[in-house]
Amino acid sequence: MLRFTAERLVGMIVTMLLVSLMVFIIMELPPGDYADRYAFRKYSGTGVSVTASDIEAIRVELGLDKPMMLRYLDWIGGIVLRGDFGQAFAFETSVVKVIGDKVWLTLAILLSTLLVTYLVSIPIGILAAVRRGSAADYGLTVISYLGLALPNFLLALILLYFANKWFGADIGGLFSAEYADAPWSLGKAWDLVKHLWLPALVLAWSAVAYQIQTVRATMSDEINKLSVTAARARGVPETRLLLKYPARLAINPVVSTIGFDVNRIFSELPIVAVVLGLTELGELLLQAYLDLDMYVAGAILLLLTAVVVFMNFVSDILLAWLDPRIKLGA
Amino acid sequence: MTDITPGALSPEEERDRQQRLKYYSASQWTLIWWRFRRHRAAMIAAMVLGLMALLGIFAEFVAPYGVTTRDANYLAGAPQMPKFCDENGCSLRPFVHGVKTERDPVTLRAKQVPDPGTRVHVTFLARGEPVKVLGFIPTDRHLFGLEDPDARLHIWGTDELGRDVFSRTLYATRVSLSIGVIGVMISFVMALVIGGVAGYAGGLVDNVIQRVTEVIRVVPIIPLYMGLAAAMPKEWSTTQVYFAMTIILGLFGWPTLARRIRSQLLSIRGEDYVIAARLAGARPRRIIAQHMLPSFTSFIIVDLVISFPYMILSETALSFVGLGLRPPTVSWGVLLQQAQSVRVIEQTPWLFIPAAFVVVAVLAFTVIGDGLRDAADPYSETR
Amino acid sequence: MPDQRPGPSPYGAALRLLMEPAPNTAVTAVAKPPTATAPARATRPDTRRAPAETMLKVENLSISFRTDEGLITPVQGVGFEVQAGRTLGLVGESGSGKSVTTKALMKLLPGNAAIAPETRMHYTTKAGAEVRIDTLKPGSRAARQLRGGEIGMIFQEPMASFSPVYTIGNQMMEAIRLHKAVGRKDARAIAIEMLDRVGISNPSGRIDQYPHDLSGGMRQRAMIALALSAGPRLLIADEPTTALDVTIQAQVLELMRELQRDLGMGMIFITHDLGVIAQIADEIAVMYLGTIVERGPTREVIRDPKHPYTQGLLRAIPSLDHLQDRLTPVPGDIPSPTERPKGCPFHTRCAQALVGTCDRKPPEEVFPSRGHGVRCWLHDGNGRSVA
Repeated sequence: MLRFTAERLVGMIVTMLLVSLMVFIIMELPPGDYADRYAFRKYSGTGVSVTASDIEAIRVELGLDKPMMLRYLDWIGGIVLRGDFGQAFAFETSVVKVIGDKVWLTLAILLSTLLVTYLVSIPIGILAAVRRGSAADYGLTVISYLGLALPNFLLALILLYFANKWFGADIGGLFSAEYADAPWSLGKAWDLVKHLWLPALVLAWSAVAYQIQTVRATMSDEINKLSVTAARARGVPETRLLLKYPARLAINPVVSTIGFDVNRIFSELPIVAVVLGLTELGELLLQAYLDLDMYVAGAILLLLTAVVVFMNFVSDILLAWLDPRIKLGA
Repeated sequence: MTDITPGALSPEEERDRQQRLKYYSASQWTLIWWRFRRHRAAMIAAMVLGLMALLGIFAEFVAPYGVTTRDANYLAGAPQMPKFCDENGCSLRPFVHGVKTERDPVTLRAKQVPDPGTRVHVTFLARGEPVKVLGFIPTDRHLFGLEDPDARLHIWGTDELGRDVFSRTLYATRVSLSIGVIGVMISFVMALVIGGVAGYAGGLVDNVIQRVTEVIRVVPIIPLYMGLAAAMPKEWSTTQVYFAMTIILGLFGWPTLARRIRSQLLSIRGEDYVIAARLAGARPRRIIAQHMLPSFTSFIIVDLVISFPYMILSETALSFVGLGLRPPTVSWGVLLQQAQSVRVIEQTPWLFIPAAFVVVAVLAFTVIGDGLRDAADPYSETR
Repeated sequence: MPDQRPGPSPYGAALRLLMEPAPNTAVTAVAKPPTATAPARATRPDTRRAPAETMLKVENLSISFRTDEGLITPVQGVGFEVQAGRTLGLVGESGSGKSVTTKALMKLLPGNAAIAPETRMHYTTKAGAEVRIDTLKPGSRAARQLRGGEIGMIFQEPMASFSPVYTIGNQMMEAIRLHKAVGRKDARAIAIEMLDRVGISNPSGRIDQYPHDLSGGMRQRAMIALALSAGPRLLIADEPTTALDVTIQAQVLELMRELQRDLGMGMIFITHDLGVIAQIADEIAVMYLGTIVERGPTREVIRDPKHPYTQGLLRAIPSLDHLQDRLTPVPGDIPSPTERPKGCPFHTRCAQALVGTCDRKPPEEVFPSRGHGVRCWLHDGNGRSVA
């Protein structure tokens, strides 16, 4: 187990290094460089004319004239050694300050979404497999098809519309108006919890549809396994039988795709954030891309991916713990 | 095998025998087609999708107006449904009411409302804007329109600039579906090459490719797409943006399929018939193409079909937030950009019609994929 | 061609000895088996010749399934008895309804199956109480007590019948505690003892291992231990040796006979291998398309088969003495249950079928000799051959 964990840890670090390289390339992609944009931002509208040599001066000052590999090393070195993600020029402060506690808000959204996903999809998937062919099973199949087909930003709009119509309330955002800029307090935390259910529901939407199908399919396979018949032939009561034998195995594919779910949630986050007005990393990422504020964008992309990689690692460990057959193949 | 006792067969038995013979001697693809035909939901989905594709291909002819044609007399107007009857009696030919401008008594804003006093009849093959169908057949006839060439028919209403939602949706259908097709094709070719090399070569090459695949799989895909899309220079033309988008979508769509191809190849690499081909001196490309790929082509096709929805949804999402295609190009996502708020649902719900296209298209691809998967599984039924 | 024709069997030799005509010293003849793999029949206790108590009596068992293709009836009018301490061998090709029959005994039939109302299944429990299995509800407490506690079952695939994610001990102790009022510690002790008894070395270590840690033969032994851990009075063995290679087959068969003798269990042994049946069964019932076409004491049925199907099965066994001869398989396919032939179900494959009789009416059971029944129009009401 220790060896297994160590191997996965090393793999994780290697993956993250490669990811950082790719992220850096994406940061370098937009035409022009930081100096151009910095100069444009700083001097446009001020009436000061900027010459090519001014920009060159900025470039040298910021070390942007160095070859790409060196700049990458500077960047990644700053992150690993000092936790410095560079400068956010649109905000004229450091990236770390801009991102700030949005990391925690994003993680809160992620965890509540995962919680909703698994609390809904696992029991329903199991039930659908047990009651295979019933009207409820059929209805669920239709719903999960819809879950795959209805983009969740549309779902978000629909939910907002009905909340508005039935309760006359604006349920978007992460905080009520009175807490939005207030310092952290118990009241603010509770306010956050009250607002989290909507993004969690919207973001869980497609993952729930997908996981219900997975759980139902595995559970259906497992129910027909000889080992289940054998346990029944030993007189194990039905409910206990279903939970102990097939259900235990039916959650394995769910556990093995935790990382995949996290990836999907982060993937959909920026779009949903636009509709629901969530002030977290996804929304900031989109803004950074639109402003070409690439240090901010790169930092966020790197952070989100790091969470995915970490959750992949968690899922591997959980799976090895759940399924005794895996330890051997480590 | 089946008949041991010889002798005359009754016509019934003979027919049964013929059927079996046909079944046993049918090719793999014929069998798949037979099984697919029996999957009713998938057949319906295929027809819906076919209809959508036709609408997109012949958008110039079917759509009464162009993408950017504005009707200044009917801004943010509600859908006009052709009807046969109104309070003034019935007509054998469908008609719509004319439009008149009124002032809202409360806000005093000018708004267009139907004028029950006038009727404009709907005709087929109506004259309208000159267009080139399929890009080369010039015509000024459109599938349907109004008799009066000055009046406009908006069966799905108009947006705030007075552009016809129906026409725009058709053009968007063409763009969205074609982006899906090209994107899938690009990622298919990449998956084939990358997965093929990894699965055939194995060893170190495979290891390196696996690492790279892993990297692409862990980065959240829409933020990644967004990063690439954001890098497109603002001054690019709409055509350039269109192709850049297909390449971006195709460029990162391959890992799942490549993995599938790789693992399939790895699993049959040791099969006797592959070793035999290698011993006979066949070159790797021939071995992969002739001996290995055919054994799982049907699964690849299923994977391709179910990867369409991801392409379409990604494009829609990117355009929705303004990082994808840019007006005047229209795609479903671009059209939905106008529908980002609850206010739009309340005031101009018809702007959501493109969303229905997204849902139906994705649903159709998913159902077809399921049908194909069942049909391609040789063990799904015995006869 | 039947898809599960009896293959070469280590018991061919013993079987042929049984088939040799007439020596009334058959027992001694078999006691010195010509091959080492055939276990000695002399180990059988002679006490079993004493009149035994009937523990299970099945009458008129018919089972039908609602399917997309309509109602099919894979089992029709089956009747048999199992005596305490004796073994009934159920023989037939796949699709003959033998597994469905035993599933009905365990109340393990799927939801779309129905047992005909005229069916009677009487079972006498360890405590001596009479239970009507046909009237039990599948999920009821009584049915659960029957499963495992009274009737144990072992399966063809030892790996597939264990859950891979729990240790052997976990699954055994679960069964023990369901049927015996014992605590964890005692249950563990019983499980270890049982593993020891089926010949697993280091049982106190093996008990905490997972099924995939054991070899094929070990797993089958563990399976038997699992089925017997709650101390059933009747054991149903569904092709328990088919998936094993021949040397292990022999060991497992020997073990099962030993356990049966020591524990005094009744046993229903399902197989398509007549050679195996000859070794282990006291009585045979040959099934074809859901009907028992011939039944009787093992030796009599094998030495003097009355039904053309039984005769065909015996001819299909390879023989070392006649290597130059080609095997004679039973001709034709077993018809699908949806296309059950009218009249005698076997007439479509029977070389001696009487046109106008066999394809019209199903034959009644007749008894050529005491305890030896056959359903075939070639035998008249007195059991004499009419052909």
